[in-house]
Amino acid sequence: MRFWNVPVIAVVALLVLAPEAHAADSRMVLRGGAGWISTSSEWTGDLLLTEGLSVTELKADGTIGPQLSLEYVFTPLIGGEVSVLQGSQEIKGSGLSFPRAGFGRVTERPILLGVNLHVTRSRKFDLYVGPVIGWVIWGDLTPSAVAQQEVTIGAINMRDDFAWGVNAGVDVPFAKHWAFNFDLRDLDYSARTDSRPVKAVLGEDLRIPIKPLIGTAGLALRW
Amino acid sequence: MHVSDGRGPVSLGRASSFGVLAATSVTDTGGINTTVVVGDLGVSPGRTVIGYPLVRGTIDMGSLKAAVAQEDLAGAFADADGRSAGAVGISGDLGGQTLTPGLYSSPSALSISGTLMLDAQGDPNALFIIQVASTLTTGAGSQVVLSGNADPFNVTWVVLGSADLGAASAFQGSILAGGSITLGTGATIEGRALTLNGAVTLDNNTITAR
Repeated sequence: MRFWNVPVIAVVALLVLAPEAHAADSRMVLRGGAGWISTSSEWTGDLLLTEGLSVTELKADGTIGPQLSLEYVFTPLIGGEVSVLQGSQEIKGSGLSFPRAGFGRVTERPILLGVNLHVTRSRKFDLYVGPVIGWVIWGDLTPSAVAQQEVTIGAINMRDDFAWGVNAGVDVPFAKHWAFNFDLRDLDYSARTDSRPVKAVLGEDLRIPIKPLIGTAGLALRW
Repeated sequence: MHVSDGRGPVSLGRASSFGVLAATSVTDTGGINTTVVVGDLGVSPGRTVIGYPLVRGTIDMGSLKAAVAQEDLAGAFADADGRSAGAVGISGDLGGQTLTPGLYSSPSALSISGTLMLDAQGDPNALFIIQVASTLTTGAGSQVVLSGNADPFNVTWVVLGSADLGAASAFQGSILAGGSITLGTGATIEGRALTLNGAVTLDNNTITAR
């Protein structure tokens, strides 16, 4: 099943099944949308790929990906939320002999748990903020040609990583059960290699700090 | 032709582009460009290449390319060394003998003086895997000769100890050694010299890995 099918089926099912209730009284909130993952940090060092080709900086490009979250509102002020995001980031590298060029691509899927403090909860908007922690599941980093040189190093295993940060967002109702949702997450996690060859070259894992700021726009279904 | 347990050729993976791959160092004691390596030359995790071999490929000293090649070499070594079904026991000096395709296993040191014939019996895909539990030594001027459409890249020598090729010897196949590999003056290899843990020493040699 494609990743996008899950939120589509969930939303359709909830549209049919959701009991009518005032949004401000709702206990469950399903949010879905598209998130922009921008990164704010990079790895610097000296990774010799092959003769004459050394990478000294690696940074992940921003990317857009789907996000789905479900919140249970325990009290009018506090809710617990589980979120899943997905992104596929292009890793760009630069070296002494070449400027910024493609290095490879890696997929990430952060699974986050958060506590939302609903600062204001009214008919017009519902502003929430709170901490999040989670786990990031990484796919392999698959290097491509670097600076137009084919480098036969194959896929590099990546290590799943802990994530933490803060989350803030707002639901703006436009119908009985529906609201626009805008969400911002400032997270801290890394893409870290789990590769003996990389460790043999560097003496340690290669860790690309991602430290993403994730902005999401989408819809919220409240019941 | 499968050798053995239904397994096919020993896959070298990302080590296959290397004519010479060492763990600690590669030393060429000959003159400038008198050793020719057709293929890549690499060292990992070491970073030392001494001398001036002519390499028709890349020279990878401690690079990621060499490191992943070492990783695949370890897998190939384990595969080749771990095969046992149908193994034919051999020992001592193989000079003057003819081997047909198959898996051969020597529990002790192996040597080649004179000529060893590897006869594929007309099958260009025929596999030869020769396991040596100790060292492999070839004499000066010795030869491994292929016949019957045998392909040197289907010949694998998996040597737990070191491999020493005599001066002016002509060798066929890929050596996967646990220890060091030393090529005497003027020795040639149609294949590869790959070591998991040791050094490779060269002297006016030609190694053709592709």
